[in-house]
Amino acid sequence: MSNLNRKYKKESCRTLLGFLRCLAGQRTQIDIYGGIMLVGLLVDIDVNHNIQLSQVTMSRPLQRPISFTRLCVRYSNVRYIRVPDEIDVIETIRQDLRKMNPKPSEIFGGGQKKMHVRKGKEYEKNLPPLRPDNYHY
Amino acid sequence: MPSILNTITYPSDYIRQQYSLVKAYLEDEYLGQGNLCVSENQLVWAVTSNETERAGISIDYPSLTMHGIVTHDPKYPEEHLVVVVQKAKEDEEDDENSENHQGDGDQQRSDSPVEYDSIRTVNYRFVMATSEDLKIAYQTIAECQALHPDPLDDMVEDDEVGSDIDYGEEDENNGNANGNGHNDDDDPYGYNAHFASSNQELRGSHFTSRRRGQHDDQEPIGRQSFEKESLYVNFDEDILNPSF
Repeated sequence: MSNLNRKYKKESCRTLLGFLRCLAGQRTQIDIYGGIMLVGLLVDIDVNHNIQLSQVTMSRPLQRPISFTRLCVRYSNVRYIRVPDEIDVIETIRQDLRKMNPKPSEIFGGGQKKMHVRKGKEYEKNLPPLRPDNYHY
Repeated sequence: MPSILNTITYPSDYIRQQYSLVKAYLEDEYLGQGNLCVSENQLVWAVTSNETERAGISIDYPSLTMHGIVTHDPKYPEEHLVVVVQKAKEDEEDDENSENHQGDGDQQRSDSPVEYDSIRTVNYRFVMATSEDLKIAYQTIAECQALHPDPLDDMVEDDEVGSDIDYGEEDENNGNANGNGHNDDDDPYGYNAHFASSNQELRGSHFTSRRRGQHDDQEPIGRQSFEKESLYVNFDEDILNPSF
């Protein structure tokens, strides 16, 4: 599970994954390669960018549309995800970053001791002495 | 038996789920009733038989564009699973069931890499025996799909990109149960090594007083010995060689 967390954080930092996950619950339109359009409620986007939707209408060119109650789209086929107009993109990204990097005081349950403090004590013990051993003589 | 069905090898291992009495349709053509097998390497529907080599369909997960549950469809009264698969380019010429006649640019596609605008897809529909089977099949296919990322992405993926955004160490330790901090994730570019000297100076100055105290491993005595050094009379030397 911790590997998934780490991968999620790296992906969020490289791509807009964190922002996209904030769109969950919104009705969005997704354009798929091949001229396919999906309109539906975003349920979940996983760490590999695969998208799950519900109440979806899929329209293909020259074919009648199909309505799905649940649909899962492979990430490699997604061309566009249209963001609803009412979403403030920058603010959403800020909130997502804040959520991912909580201040120690905001962590529910206290969280773990900070890494650099721990490292500091061990690091400090292993530091060479400030004065050589024969300083007093 | 329709001629569309190929002879496929029914998977024998890494099977996540298997369902019997599953009716299959390709676009609008009925293929028959058989077994649907969700394995980790491919999705297979085949006629019921005891042999390993059977007539059926085998779908690789990388070509599985999307899959979903349809409850209301004018042509299919029952709730069923729809699987949309990317059609391979070599099937273009002899596939008579294709309803996509977008047509332009097909001839130039043979040597060039996949042109995404001209991707063709086909629909498979699977009518399961029960509604519960349907939900579990949908979920299992989604899980197995996640096991097959495109190989191109592995090339692009760089684990160390983005290390300049400061959130790494504290958050990772907050999330980690075992708290293994001493790995490359914390310092992929060796920033700590680069800045270590300045860190050392800073730490040295900050912890100077404590360091002094700990130098002799006994804080009060150590401090006393330093402070009294100037007043300390070295009996051996001073008495033998007084310097007044």
